[in-house]
Amino acid sequence: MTPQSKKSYFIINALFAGIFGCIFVYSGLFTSTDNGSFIPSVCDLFHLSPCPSKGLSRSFSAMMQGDIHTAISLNPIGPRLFFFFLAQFFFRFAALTYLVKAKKNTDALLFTDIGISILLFIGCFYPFLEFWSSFYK
Amino acid sequence: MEQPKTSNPGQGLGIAGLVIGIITLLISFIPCLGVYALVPGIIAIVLSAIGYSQATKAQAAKGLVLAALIISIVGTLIAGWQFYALKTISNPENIEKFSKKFKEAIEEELSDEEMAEFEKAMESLEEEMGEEFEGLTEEEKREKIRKKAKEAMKEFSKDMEEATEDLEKELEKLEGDTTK
Repeated sequence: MTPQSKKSYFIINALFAGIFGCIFVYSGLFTSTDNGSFIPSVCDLFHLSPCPSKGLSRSFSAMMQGDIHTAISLNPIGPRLFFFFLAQFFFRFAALTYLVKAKKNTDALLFTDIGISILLFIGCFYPFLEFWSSFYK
Repeated sequence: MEQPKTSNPGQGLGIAGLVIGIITLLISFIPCLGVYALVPGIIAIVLSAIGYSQATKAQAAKGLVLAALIISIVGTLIAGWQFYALKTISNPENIEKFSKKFKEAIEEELSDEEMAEFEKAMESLEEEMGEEFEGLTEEEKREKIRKKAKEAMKEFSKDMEEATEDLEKELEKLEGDTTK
């Protein structure tokens, strides 16, 4: 990896860590029983019921409080997505630390990052991917 | 002495486009919520496109900017498709078309007498709902409709069970008569 690419990769990691951190702060601002979240439900806007993404923000809030049962009851896929963002958040910090300390072999980190992120995405977003595939049947 | 340039032109915009593009792609996969990905998607495409043109002009490396542009376009397309699909599903014309087809299918299945009874039941349900709907919000109305439909379905399946039992009894009786 060239020094320029390494710098870009560092900035990308820092930005993602910041964005994922903001998601957790946002979720922590509300409780799962709150109805005053900033994101209005698209399902309500389009008069759709049942909706696979309904209760996702509240499910994240419940996960922030460590209440996994409420999180599952609000949206069964919520905890999976929360795990995805949490894993990515810690992975970004690990990558940033490695980039600062390691002088060589940053290519290996990049490929590991791509591999892990793709696998994590498939594993955590699987119910949604399944939903889309069933949508076409 | 002039300092040598350390950053490629368009690189900064490319990074911003890539980050927003990946976020767009992630959100676009979430059903319904994916509609919101249209806004960051368009921003990511604009940033990446500007970055790409800057990199092309300066004949700099375009790998990152190109990746950003592709990811942003894919994410925005998925979000756009979701928006189109949701709009189609929630279109009142389509709901009307569905109810028309539903009515046609029911007319084919039921006899004239049964059809008259069904229409009478629907009318009384509408009247009942009309009185109960006064002063309610859209959400409350939908909830009421859902409950009433559930009750009606329960009643209908109960009637069907009773009718099937009667038919079975009659068949047994007929079988008994023919064996005699």
